[in-house]
Amino acid sequence: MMADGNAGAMAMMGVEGYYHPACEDIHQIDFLNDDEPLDNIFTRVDSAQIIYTPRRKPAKMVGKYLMGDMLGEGSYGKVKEAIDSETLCRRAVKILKKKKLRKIPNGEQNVKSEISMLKRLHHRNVIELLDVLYNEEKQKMYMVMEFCVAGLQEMLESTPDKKLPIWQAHKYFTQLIVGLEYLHSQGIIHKDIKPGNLLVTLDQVLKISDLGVAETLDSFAKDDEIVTSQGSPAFQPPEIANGLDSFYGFKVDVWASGVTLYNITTGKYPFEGDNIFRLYENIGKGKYSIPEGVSKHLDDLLTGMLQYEPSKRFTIQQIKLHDWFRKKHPRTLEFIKPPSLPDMDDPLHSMTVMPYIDDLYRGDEYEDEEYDDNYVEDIPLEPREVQVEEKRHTPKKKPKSKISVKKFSFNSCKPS
Amino acid sequence: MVDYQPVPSHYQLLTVIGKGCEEAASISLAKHLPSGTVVSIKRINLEMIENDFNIVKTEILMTRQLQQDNLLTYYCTFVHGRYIWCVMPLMEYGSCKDLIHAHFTEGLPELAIAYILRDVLMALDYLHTRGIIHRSVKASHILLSEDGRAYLGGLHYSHDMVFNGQRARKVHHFPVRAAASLNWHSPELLEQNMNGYDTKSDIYSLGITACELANGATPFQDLPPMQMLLEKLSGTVPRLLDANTLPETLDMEQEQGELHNDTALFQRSFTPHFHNFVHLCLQADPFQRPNAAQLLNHPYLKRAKRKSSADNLPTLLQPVKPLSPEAILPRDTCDVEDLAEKMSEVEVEEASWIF
Repeated sequence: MMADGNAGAMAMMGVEGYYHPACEDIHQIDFLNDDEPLDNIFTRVDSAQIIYTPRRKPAKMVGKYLMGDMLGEGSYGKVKEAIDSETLCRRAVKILKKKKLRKIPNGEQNVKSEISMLKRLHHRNVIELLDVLYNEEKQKMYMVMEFCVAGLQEMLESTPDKKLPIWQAHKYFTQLIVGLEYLHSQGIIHKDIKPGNLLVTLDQVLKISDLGVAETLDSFAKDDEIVTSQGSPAFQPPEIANGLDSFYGFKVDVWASGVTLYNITTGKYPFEGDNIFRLYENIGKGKYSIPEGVSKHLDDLLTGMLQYEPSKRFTIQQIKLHDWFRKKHPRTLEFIKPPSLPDMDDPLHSMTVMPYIDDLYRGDEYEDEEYDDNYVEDIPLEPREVQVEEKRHTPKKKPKSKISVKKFSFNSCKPS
Repeated sequence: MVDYQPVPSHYQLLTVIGKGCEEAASISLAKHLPSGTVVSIKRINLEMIENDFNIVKTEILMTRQLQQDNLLTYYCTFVHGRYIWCVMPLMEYGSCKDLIHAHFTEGLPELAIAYILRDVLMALDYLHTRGIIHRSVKASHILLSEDGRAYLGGLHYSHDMVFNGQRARKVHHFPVRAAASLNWHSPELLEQNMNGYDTKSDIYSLGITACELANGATPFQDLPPMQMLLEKLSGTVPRLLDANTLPETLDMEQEQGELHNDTALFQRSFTPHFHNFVHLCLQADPFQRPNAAQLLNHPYLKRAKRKSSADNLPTLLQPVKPLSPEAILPRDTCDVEDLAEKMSEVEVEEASWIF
């Protein structure tokens, strides 16, 4: 029997879920997916058109994520690129080792609070936490986050003057303020704003990250008064440098954003010191100078954000209304591109997961490696090395790829 | 022109003809009582689409803002109770995917595909000149009306390249929710690198759709997503399956007894123009791919002239008949299941199966 199935505009909204009772009668469609030589079904293009050339690396799945190369390393563990095997979206995975966390003061506590904060935060300029996975056996935790190509710190370090063109700095700074305004509206004080914690995506969207030392204000708190700070010394305001018992949180973030703006536009820091005591002494005095060449508008904004007295310091609203913030800055100097990962010359920042995917599907014995969604599992690495050896002696196997060609279901379609 | 008002009492829901959005949306036939015309109404349960709300919003906003002869329109949209109602024209042939499922399991006739692709390209040309990337061009999003006109729908994953009055040259946003359209996505969209992608991504999807319509199966369709990605990025290019592209395969597979020379797939032969059209669309380098306007001038589409009555789309689609609302309207509307069954019986004209 044939189905009609053609009634109305049913194809809108994910027709994949569409089911028609008459479909049952249709012959089961099978596919020739066994050992089909690919070249007969698909045209192979010349090498210039091939985007990716194989260079296998042992595949490792964590939940539904396939791990790629390392993006960075912190005191808690590594950050690796990953790909969501279901949506194919690039991700970054922060791998936290319990053993290492214990050695960091407040390490475990900070991670817990960061996770609970990130879970409820959803904003274009705040890093999104998508998934948290645990491996009890290995004492590891995996935080799956949005993929970013670089941090502002690495971008600064890739330039000779350690600074960004004004228009580019403006582009990031405005996003920092918008993201910060959101955090404050959610009763969260970041307390560690600095270029190293500001990441940039492929399309130049700034993401405030690392809420490890951030603090959530009590819903019933009458103001933003707080008593602790664990942020980076060079970005701390005078009230903290001077050791006050309590201070206003929002203004702490404003000060740190001011130091950040100073840093990314001039390549320098307003306050320096040979050691943390000297640094705090200088911040505590509050004397700094703005280098030559800074425009009047920018000078005025920096002065407002680096006010010694928290009460006189700009609010987020004042920053947003400031002329430098609102001004459209002409794109004069060349755009500073996010630098390539160390040991990799890839200005395009292409996926690093391809060699691992190649291993997963074209590696000789492990082509159908199954994994469990519910728990974390590593694909054993040792036997693979043996295979690399074997490959040289055994004739090349047929490609493992299963490209479907529809089987010709003639039975169901014979003319009656 | 009938004036469709956003008033729930003007519409009498008749029978459910489709579902979508993970059961949150249902599409029903409905009678517009003031005029007596039959429409289809998509109802989306707002309580079930928490994560997808923005997608629903994009689709409605886009669909309402755009107007072109080959884009599916909404007559009106409104919220009623827990549901968003989208009142739209009835597409009597359903989607192209339905056509494949229902009858053309080995693919649609080449000329029919030319008619369909020509109409879809008109819609794409309109979208692309406005800086909109559709991002999920595929058979299930192409709907056919009784008079044989193809309409492009499914704007929920579309992306507007114009932002703050400026048209971006490249897009980097990855449509995470569009996992069901992964096989149609272009290599550059899937790559997610600094190069980004643009409207040419839709041209690649159109090439995959052409294979889907012609072969009756979507390229890569039973591969896990990551393996599909590997194939696409290693330069694997799908193509049309016919007597020219299949014989070598047959020689090697014959001993398995799975394939036979006499199947329709081996007897047919698509024109070189059609092969070339697909080849142009599926080039890995987006700069090499022609745009929608250029493709409209491709020799393959020259044959699809609307005036020739003898081989217009409805004729080519026989024995599949368009849904006729009259056949089901008088029936009791309570028994939805039963109606759906009746519909399938009404449709088929068994005597005239021609291959």
